Amino acid sequence: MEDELYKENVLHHYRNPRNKYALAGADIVGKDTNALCGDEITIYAHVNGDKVITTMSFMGDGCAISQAASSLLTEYATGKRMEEIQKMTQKDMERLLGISLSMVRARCALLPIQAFQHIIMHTHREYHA
Amino acid sequence: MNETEIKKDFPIFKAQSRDGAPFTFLDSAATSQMPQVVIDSMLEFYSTYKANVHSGIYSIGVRAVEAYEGARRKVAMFLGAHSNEVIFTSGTTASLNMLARMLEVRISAGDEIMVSAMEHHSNFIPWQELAKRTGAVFTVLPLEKDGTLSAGTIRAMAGPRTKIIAVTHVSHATGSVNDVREISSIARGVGAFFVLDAAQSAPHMPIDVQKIDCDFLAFSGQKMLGPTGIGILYGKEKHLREIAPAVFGGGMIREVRTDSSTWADMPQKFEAGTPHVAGAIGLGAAISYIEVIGRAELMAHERNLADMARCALTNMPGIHVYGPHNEHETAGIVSFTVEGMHAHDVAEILSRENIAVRAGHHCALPLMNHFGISGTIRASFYLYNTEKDVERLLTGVKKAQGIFHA
Repeated sequence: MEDELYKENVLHHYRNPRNKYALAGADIVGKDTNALCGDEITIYAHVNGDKVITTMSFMGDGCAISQAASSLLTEYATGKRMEEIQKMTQKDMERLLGISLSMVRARCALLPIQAFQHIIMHTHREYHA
Repeated sequence: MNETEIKKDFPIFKAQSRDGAPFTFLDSAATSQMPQVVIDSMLEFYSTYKANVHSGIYSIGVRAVEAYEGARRKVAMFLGAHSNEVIFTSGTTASLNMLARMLEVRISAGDEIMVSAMEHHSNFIPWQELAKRTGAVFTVLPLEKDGTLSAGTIRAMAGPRTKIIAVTHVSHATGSVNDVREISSIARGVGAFFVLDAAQSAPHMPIDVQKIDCDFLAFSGQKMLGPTGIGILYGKEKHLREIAPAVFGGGMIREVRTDSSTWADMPQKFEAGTPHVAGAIGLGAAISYIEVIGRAELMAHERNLADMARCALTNMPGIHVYGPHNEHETAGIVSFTVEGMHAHDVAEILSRENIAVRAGHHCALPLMNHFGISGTIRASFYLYNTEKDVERLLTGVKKAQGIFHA
């Protein structure tokens, strides 16, 4: 049964997260905390003049779900418009992870999205959603 | 004590058992389950004599008052207190917040309020906020390496400016038991109020407020086989007589005039509004259930299970157990982490085995910071737990390690 949630792909991203570093000279830095567990994710992005994400990275420790979600998101977001990523829903994250989530664990998967919504630093005012 | 028979008194175990996987509930430190007799006592109130305790001249009104005050007497006997020293609240958090408001007039700028770094946020933030409002100094007592609180630390740090020492009896995060007799003598020595958070001790061990000599004590019904929404604030008669209430409304007044009002006697003056009557009745029934077994017996049983789990986990590779390792210094709580796994992932996999544990920071961020971790997995034991539950926990943890390290 546990295979449903902890699929090999999720565990693979948890053990080998993609783009886990603080992006130097990021145009946007967003950060949020999961109030339930205190886990914190910071998202960094380079964004071009059309508000298209050219690079995304993340930092922060957390559970397998939030780490895999962050890792997958950084790959998925490249080439997408900022707004599209900021509007991602639980369903979207479930598709990305390839698993379905309970209400409690959905918060873990949505943490990187929420971090990208809570922008704490940006180089241009127009990057605010 | 026959815990297998005891389990049958609690309908949740039947309701939540799955094919081949009995419900292994190891989160009683968060909330305990309720035996049928407690549920029935509340059901009886709701279905046959629900009435307010403030107005009833009619028969069920009188019966409701008798049941409510009967529950208060049971709580008083349970603590070695007088009935008028027992205030019903909605829980430990409400008790401590209300107390912080009640004591506000006694605190001046420059006074000191002391808590320990192992406190639950509910015995931490109300005092931190009180210090902010009054200009008092808020001191957090540091812990030993293993997360225990040394009475020597308190003795060295408390002084004539110390007005409140608020500490927990038992750490909800590690199970560490504090030397409350010693702490009360220190508080006495410097003339401070000793506030004891008994949320994790009252349900599990004998408590005598005269012997402990605490000024105030708080606990919750929901952690001791009772319902949610009911709790207790105990205060010494000499204090409660003098202290003004912090919450106002119906049922707590003697006289109301347009210019000012006066208060009813204790404890009524601290119980504004319609109380949780069913909750008080449920708590009374829970106390009766516990007293049949005896709290010394409970403690021995829970310590035995926790010690079994602690020893086994300590010897497992990749597991770190937090808190003191001597069973006599701990209650029935074991807190641990699994290398390479977040606590939530461990709890999730255990849940799939029908095992309920708590994972996270346990509302004790200062303690987690002390250990330098983000959270732990906590297994807490109560009278309905068995050695089989411990075995299931250990098997579940091994399974979780297998999934993540495969």
